[in-house]
Parts: sequence; C-alpha cells; structure tokens
Amino acid sequence: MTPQNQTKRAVFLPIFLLAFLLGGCTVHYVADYDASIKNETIRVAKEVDLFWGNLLDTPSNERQYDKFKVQYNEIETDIRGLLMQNEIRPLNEESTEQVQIALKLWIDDRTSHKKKDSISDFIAALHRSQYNRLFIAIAKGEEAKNMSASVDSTGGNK
Amino acid sequence: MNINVDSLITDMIGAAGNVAQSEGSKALSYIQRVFENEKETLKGLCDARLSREIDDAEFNQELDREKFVLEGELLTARIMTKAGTQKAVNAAMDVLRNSIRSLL
Repeated sequence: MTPQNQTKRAVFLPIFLLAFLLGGCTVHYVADYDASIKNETIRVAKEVDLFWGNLLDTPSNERQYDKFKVQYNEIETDIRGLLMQNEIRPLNEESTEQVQIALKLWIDDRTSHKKKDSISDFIAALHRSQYNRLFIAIAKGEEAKNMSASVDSTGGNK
Repeated sequence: MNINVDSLITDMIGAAGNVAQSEGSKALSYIQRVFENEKETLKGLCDARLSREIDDAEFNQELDREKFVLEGELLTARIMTKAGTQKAVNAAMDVLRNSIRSLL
C-alpha cells in the first residue's frame, strides 16, 4: 500500500464507520404509530357513545341493570382487547395507562348501575362526555406518534 | 474533504430547536384546551350539587372520576412531548447524517 493510499484510508475509514453507525442512529421514545389501534379506539368510543345514547333514550324508570348487562359485557371485552393491543407494544406506557383508566371507569359504572339499578340523566350525560374526552385523548395520543404527520394544536392532522 | 464542526453543530441545534419549539407549542395548546374543557365540566358539577340534583356522595364520586379523566387526557400531552423530543433529536441527527453523506 502506497503512502498516498494509506492517507486516503486513514481519512475515509472513520467517515465510513461514522456514516454506517449514523445510518441506524434514530432515537425512539414512543411506540411506532399504529393506525389500526387508532381506528379500534374510535370504534370502541362509538360503541360506548351508542350505549349512553340508548340509555338516555330509555325512560329513567326503565333503566334496570339487567336491560344493559349484555352491552356492559360486550364493551368491557372490547376495552380489554384494546388494552391488550396497547400493552404488548414497547414504549407505550402512556397509552396503556389511558386505556386502563377507561376500563376502570367502565367497571365502576357497571358496578354502580348494578348496585343502584338505575342511572340519572345527569350522571349518564356526564359519563358519556367523560368517555368521549378520554377516547379522543387516546386517539390523539396515538396520532402524536405518527412521525410523518404534522399534528396541529387540536391534535388533528394538518 | 473537511467538515466544519462549528457550522454543523449550529445547524443541528437549529434543526432540533425548530422542531422542539413547534412540537412544544402544540403540546401546550392541547393542555390549555384540556383545562378549558375541565372548567366547563367542573362548573356543571358544582351547579348540579348546588341545585341538589346530586348529593354529596355523588359529587365527591364524580370529582374522583374527573381526576382520572383529566389524568387520561394529560397523558396525551406526555406522549406529544416524548414524540416531539424524538422528532427533534432525529432532526439533529438527520443534519449530521446528510452533512457526512454530502462529503462522501
């Protein structure tokens, strides 16, 4: 190897090594965006909203727990499914915690309805709005992980 | 084939700073909006208690629920902040990577 080639090698080798290392050098603090989970979140949110809509359409003296227990079960299963989908993803603690909150509130609602065997209009409307806010937050959280999209201050895509 | 490290670092800081500033303001706007909504909900709850539509036990129970909902909403701000930091660091790394590539 000539001295000229040795000099070239001394200059290029570290640069190639650096470029090679940087090629895979991206940091990850949040899970990769998953559109299917965002869609599933919106689907469960609609299901929950329909539940409260149906309950509010039922006269208050006919809101016995038994009439709604099947829907309570179905929705609880769907929230648990959503929780599982979030739980198995790495770097996804916040979204998992959000769905855990939704599940906790749902179980509380079910237990309270079962115990009292009724729900007032005020509580039903308030809880409908709470789930709406919570599921919007979960969907926006998922959207925030979308690195290719610019998310505006309201959380929607620009 | 030389690399101007000072200029490169300035460019990296600029890229990361722009992204961090933009992402930070989005998270801040989101938090402000969450608290605006919270204000409305709490007002509704207080009105319901004062008009005796709900009793003390229900009022306290609902306040506890609100804490959970608010926590859930604010977790989104934490995701936005983490994602923003990720974007900012990667923007700086992109500047470095592109600079090296342009010299090869």
